[in-house]
Amino acid sequence: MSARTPLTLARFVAKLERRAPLPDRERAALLALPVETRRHDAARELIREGERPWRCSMVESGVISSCRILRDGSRQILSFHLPGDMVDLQSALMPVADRSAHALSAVTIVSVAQDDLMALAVRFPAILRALWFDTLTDAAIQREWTINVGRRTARARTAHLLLEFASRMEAIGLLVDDSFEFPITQAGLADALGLTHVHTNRMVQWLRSQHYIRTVGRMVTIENWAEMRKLSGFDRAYLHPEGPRAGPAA
Amino acid sequence: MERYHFHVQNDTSYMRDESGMLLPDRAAADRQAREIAAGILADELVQGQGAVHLLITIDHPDGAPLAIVSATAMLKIGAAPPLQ
Repeated sequence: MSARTPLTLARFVAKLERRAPLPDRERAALLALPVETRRHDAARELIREGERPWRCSMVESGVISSCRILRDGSRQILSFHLPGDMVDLQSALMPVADRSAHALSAVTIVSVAQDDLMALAVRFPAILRALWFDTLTDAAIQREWTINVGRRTARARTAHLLLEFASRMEAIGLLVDDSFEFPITQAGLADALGLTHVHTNRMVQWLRSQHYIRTVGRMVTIENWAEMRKLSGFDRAYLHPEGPRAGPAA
Repeated sequence: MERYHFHVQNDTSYMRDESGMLLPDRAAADRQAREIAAGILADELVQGQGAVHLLITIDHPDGAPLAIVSATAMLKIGAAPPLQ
């Protein structure tokens, strides 16, 4: 049996380089960072609101959600983190976690010490720019979620979230024949949409009845991209696939 | 915490709630039924329905029906009366 290749931040580096290539030295420095790998079952709490994490964690496989739990016990899911995403890059500068994170499926996480990552950011301007752009893109997605929950109808809201998930899966090569794995429960989807679970189920059923989507187990297929975009107003520009503005040479 | 189920019947369809929701007590289940009704009624009105009527059956965790919630919304847009 061959030894497993040790994991690195390769998926995160690949994500950064989809937007803008890194110089060889910077890429090598990120991939050489010492990491810790952990595997967790679904539903495991990975970060607790209020704690002081010392590491930044990347999703190697699976899906993680960030959320806030309100005093009455209700939950608002704030974001989904896919393979290659940093769950908590903000903790490199913000000492206290302002939200919780949970595994929505079985997950593998690759973590680096915040101090190690910050040391690279200070030493290499290209890494600093890449990390900055990554957090700005997360903020752009958060703005779109605010619009989604605040202004779109329930049908448009549901369609928009599914299209965003599909687009993000496509970017990392996990959209095949318009299909992707969606390991999110009805309750989780409801909490991401700001709807009740019953209303969410009605919306998913409606999308199916219109042949906009097809679902088999955890697999979702987008059957009519054009109508889904028309219904939801989805425009992937907010995902900033064009990458950052070209900066001055280092 | 126990799992309550909320099945919804309207004029055209019946949808069983297979997954249910974990809630601390009956009062929380009633609040959840209100939230479900309010969300669906508002959405249907926005979609253009003039009258919406829902029956939500709350099932006890042991499977027996616990309560039936009836919720109705009507919206009519008519001509404004002439100014005097």
